[in-house]
Amino acid sequence: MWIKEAQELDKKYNIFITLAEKAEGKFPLAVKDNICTDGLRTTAGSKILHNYIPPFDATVVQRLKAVGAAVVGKTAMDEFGFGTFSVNCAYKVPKNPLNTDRSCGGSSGGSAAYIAASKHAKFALGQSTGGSISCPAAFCGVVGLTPTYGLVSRYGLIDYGNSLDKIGLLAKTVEDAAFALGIIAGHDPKDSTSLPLERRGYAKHCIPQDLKIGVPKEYFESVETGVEKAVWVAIKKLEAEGIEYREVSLPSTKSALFSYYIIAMCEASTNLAKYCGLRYGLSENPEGRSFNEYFSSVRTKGFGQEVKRRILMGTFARMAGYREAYYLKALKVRANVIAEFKRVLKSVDVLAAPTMPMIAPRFSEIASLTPLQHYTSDVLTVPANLAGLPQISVPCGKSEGMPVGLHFIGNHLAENKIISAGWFAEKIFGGKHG
Amino acid sequence: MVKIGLEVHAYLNTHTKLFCSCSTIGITEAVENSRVCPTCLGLPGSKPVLNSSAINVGLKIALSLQCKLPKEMFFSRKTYFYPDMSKNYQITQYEIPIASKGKMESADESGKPFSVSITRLNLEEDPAKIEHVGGSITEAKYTLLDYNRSGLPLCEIVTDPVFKTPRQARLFLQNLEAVLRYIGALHPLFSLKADANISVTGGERVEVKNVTGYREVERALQFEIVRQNNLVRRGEKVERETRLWDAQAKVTRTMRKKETEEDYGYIFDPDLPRFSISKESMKIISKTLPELPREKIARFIKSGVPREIAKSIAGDLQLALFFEKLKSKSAPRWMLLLKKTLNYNDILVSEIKLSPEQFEKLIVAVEKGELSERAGELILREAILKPEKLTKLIEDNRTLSEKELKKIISEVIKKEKSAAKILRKGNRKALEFLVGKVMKASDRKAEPKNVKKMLRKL
Ligand SMILES: [Zn+2]
Repeated sequence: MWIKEAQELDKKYNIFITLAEKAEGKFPLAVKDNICTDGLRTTAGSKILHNYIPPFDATVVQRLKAVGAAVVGKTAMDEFGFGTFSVNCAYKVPKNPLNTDRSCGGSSGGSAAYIAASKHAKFALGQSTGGSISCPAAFCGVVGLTPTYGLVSRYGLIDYGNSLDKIGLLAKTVEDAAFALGIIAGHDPKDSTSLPLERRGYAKHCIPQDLKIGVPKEYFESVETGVEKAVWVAIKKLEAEGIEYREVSLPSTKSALFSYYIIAMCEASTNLAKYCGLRYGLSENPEGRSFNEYFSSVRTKGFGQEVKRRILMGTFARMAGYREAYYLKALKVRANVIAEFKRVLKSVDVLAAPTMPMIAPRFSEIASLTPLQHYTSDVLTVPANLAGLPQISVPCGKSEGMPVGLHFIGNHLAENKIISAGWFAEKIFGGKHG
Repeated sequence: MVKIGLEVHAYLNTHTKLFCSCSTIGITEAVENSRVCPTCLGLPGSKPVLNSSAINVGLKIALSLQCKLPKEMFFSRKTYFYPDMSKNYQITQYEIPIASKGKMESADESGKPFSVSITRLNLEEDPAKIEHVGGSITEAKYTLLDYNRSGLPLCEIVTDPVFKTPRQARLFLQNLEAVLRYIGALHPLFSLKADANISVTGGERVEVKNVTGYREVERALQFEIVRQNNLVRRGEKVERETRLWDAQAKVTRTMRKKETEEDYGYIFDPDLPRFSISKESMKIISKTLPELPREKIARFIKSGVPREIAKSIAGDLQLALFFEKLKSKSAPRWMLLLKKTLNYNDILVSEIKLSPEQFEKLIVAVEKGELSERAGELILREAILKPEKLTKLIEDNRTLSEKELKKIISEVIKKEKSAAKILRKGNRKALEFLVGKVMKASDRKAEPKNVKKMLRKL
């Protein structure tokens, strides 16, 4: 039944890169294709891993399977997560179930589309480096929960930017997301960056809390009017329910974007070095060629354009002579961004802002964007991701008939607060099951 | 002037690899590619987990080499493409290594103590073992890879360019290996691997790689000195480059020139958090260390061994351990003789067959006057590799007692009456003639000095 639905949805919306043959368990689970599944092809959306079948489950998959998850398939994504609209795809481009002319956001686009369209699934696994959970959640009108960096194990996640990558959830409701977080969160000795915290439940935070909300003024610059309006209406609704807000300022917002892309690309360019056609993935007949010629050929064929662009830029930014000006500087900016968030989050409990500066764009619109315009559309989600802060995106209204996401950002490990804020907002705005 | 620096790689004595739990015990005997897991194979989604015992072993080395420790340390990624690299980046230490600025007491070829400054120690993972079948990487028909090696913990020990001769470099390597084994830091199945850099006055620094064995290091460096000096003499440039030692042809060959040296694009490894070492854990580690050479020197001096001799002995750990088993008063001086004998015969301390107990027997014989100093030294030379001969050698070379000597002399004088007569008048020729006769009669066991003395008294 779950597989059948998945097949049907896939036909309509291009949701899956790989579908499971059977799915038996207590509930269906769609997994972003950069999260390893034992025995089920995992490509990270890249041709270079077109035949890669992992010999182990990612810790999150293992934990969900232990409570009855049945993996239905691996969801479409931008190649290695390099994108905002799930169009940098080596396989198929997923379509937004609310309007198939439009993007479902990226890079966890397939997982968001599945949650928006499925009648059976309550949550799916996504992953965010710079906003790849919140963005598709906002575009598809579902809930997206990105936990604090280190709260959820990255073991089994195919790396993009290891210091930024976070596995999280796309869900029908805040409560569904919170419930699933309770299963996947908690220390994992296989991931050295995993925080030493015991596993505990998060659904219990779906209660009203007395929260002070900060609205960062920089987060409304260059936001579409329709989105801006919808978000302000939502904030006013919350105020009417007794949740006060005050304006705050995060001046580092723009520099965070540059810092993020430099760090992410530097890390990515080293992570992708391992794909050289030797032990797994795309390979060719090496006869008559040197090692250098061989791996260059495999990489030329296996990687898409955006991947090559990021490898080149990331390699450049860490080379002797440029390293100081780019990579090391970006790390300093990152420390400033974190300090700035920490300062502001002393006076307020959570920050509220539009998740994305636009509604889900049409594919025709995306085609005319430059790479830089792609990158700058992440400006609202990137700072919190750079700082490793937890975030939740909940649908808060509509613009041009498409959903608008309201983003709550909390302090490190303040999942309880963003879950409470998200749950309350969902109730007020009349979320799907609110 | 010649300047030599060393870059030594030591396989650490841990039970598991540096970033995964694959076993390292008996690793060289294991079936190829049987000690592997997703992490050391570099499979997508795998993550490194630092083996804390590798850090502890690294810290043991740092302590024994009197290094300074950083407040906080971390690992970096050194990216380059090579078939033996499972991830095409190596996890190593770059900006801040585990330790730096240390020193080790060593001794030069004449036994004179000298202190070797250590630039830095860093921990890193070993790549896979690679075998190009049928030529170099560019010519080979195919290449075999054994990932059992991939991820073995290595400690890189870099010295300042303090060695002035290839022999000094070799002696240091031997001594360093002894120290690392003594503190339990070195994997029992491996020796040290060393790359060297060498420059002569008027030339650039040249790196020499691919040298196995300490004797080979010495040979490769000797070759380089000759090569570089010849270039300088002819007015040609000694270029900055990396050269490989060809042990069969006994020459070094250019591997790469400076301008093609790679840029590794180091970044901090984001999979491994920064960490620091507490004072308490350093205390615990230092308690596990045995008495170190420098502590031995202090103790030897306290017990009456002359400072220079103490340093010279403890400059070679194995020699110091040998010395500690000796009780005789003149043992320190005899250790210098032993050292001289080793150098003279090109023998390593580890190759000595003579046990400390047997050596002691020899020393005691000289102390008691049963053997002349000279005879003792000659016996040492022979017995050092053939201790089974020791008893007979001592017996055969025993000096005569005064009584025995007197008896022989009076017998000789009885026979050589005319010479004895002239001798009494102070004739030198007669003295020498009679000394010769006595020596012959004594089967050369008499000390000529003593014989002369006694003959003069007549
Ligand atoms: Zn392993």
